[in-house]
Amino acid sequence: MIRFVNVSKQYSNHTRALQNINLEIPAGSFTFLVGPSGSGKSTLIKLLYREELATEGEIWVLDKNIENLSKHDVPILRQQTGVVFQDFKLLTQKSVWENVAFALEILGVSKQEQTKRIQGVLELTNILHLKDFYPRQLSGGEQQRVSVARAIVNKPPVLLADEPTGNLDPNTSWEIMKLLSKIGKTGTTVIVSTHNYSMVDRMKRRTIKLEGGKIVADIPEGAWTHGS
Amino acid sequence: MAAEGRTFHQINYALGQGIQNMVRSPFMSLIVISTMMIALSTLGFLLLLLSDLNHVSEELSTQLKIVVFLEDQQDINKLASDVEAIPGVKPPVKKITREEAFESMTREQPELKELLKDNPFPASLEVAVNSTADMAKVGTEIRQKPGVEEVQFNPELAEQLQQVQNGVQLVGSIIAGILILATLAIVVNTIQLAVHQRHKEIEIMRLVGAPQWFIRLPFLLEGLIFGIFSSILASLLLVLWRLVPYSQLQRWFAFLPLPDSLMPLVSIGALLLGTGVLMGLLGSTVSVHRYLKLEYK
Ligand SMILES: Nc1ncnc2c1ncn2[C@@H]1O[C@H](COP(=O)(O)OP(=O)(O)O)[C@@H](O)[C@H]1O
Ligand SMILES: [Mg+2]
Repeated sequence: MIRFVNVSKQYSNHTRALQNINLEIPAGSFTFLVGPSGSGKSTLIKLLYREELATEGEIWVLDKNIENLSKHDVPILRQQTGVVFQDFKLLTQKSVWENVAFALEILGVSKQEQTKRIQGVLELTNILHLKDFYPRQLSGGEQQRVSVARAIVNKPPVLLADEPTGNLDPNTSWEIMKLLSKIGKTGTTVIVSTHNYSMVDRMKRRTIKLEGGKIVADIPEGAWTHGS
Repeated sequence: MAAEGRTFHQINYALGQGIQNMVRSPFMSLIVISTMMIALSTLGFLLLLLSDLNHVSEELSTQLKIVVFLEDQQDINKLASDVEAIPGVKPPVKKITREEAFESMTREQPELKELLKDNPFPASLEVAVNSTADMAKVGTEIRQKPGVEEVQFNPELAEQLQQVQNGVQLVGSIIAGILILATLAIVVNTIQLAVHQRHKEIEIMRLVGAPQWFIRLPFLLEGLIFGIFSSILASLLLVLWRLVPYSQLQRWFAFLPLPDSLMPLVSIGALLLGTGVLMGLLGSTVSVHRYLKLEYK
């Protein structure tokens, strides 16, 4: 499903963010990406939605080596890859509903179909009652739910989340993690980066640990304990 | 759903976004439109000035004529049609027979009638030329025709007028060119501001997989609307100028043949509209392209 083959990434300032990564992530699985700040988590995720290009190696997503995608095909990859960030990236002048609708409007989905899908996704993320609110009227956890709703409203087979709980308190973080895990159970391949180890401890999912741009540990589901 | 249906929805939405964007940041729209309006009306004034100067010098130059005096006993009609056949001559050639010459001279000074027994005045032709630049050439050619006694004209004056006309046109075109380039630069940079103001929206569009044309369309529409609005305003400004202060100028400079129709404004207005639309579209294309080039890898 997702496969890294000898992938290295060197930024133009010669920073080696990733070195010789080999990795396989099965379809429909849930994977944590952990490691200290600067270890390359964000870079790995950016490579997956073609925000950055690898310096070396192949990255296979949905049976395509995305390193070879043309500019024209990048939007198609992104329609199949939902992304969630620490800073939510919501449009402040749009309501919750409009923020989620935005992802469908750009694909030309009809209003009828939009209503059905947005309704469903707001129910799943538990924010249907907030649909007419604006982002500034919401708590951080609620805003992150909107951002997750937008990421999955187009039913992408892959969901990437880069430090989705970085700005949230522990209780709210736990709620968001449960939500992401729930989405993982619907068959979506979910990859979540975090440096919140207590959360990872609690979830007991597959965990890949990066350090200095290298994979230093790949702990299968159920085996993770803090410090391993 | 059918693909065409989707595309229709997408176009519809993108256009709606463009209009919403403009309404939601009226200050930005105002800046762009007024900048473009100032530049376009300056261009318009320049074009109007050129067209008026051109008119004045054309008028003056048609008042410059070649006067051809005939030898005695020549057939004035034949010579007139010979002269009309010369390239550069603007027909009809005006014929003044000996009788007509005598008539007009004695009408001005009736006492001459008593003094003169015979009619001493020669028949003559008054020849206008299409372009003052040709006056010397046409004059020499007429002088070589049989039956021509004398040719009178002022080649220096004609030439000077022509030189002034050429000079004005050259300087005018250079200024117009510089103006268009400067305006384009301003438009590119101002729309760049508008694009930058919406960088967050663009970022999200890119993240959720908007095709590039979809990201560009709202800005293109904005550029188009900016171009249309600002050129219409600039044209109105020109009309206003023509209706009020210009008529005052006409009264002050009554000795100059200043044109008084609004006709040149129609073509200048059309030209401004074309220039405005083109600059708006080009400006937004360039600035969005510059922006996206940095973003898409
Ligand atoms: N755009 C960039 N240009 C240059 N260096 C970068 C860029 N982005 C990240 N880096 C560097 O790459 C390394 C890995 O960064 P990152 O992937 O953001 O790590 P993490 O998300 O684990 O904190 C760091 O040393 C960082 O400074
Ligand atoms: Mg990071």
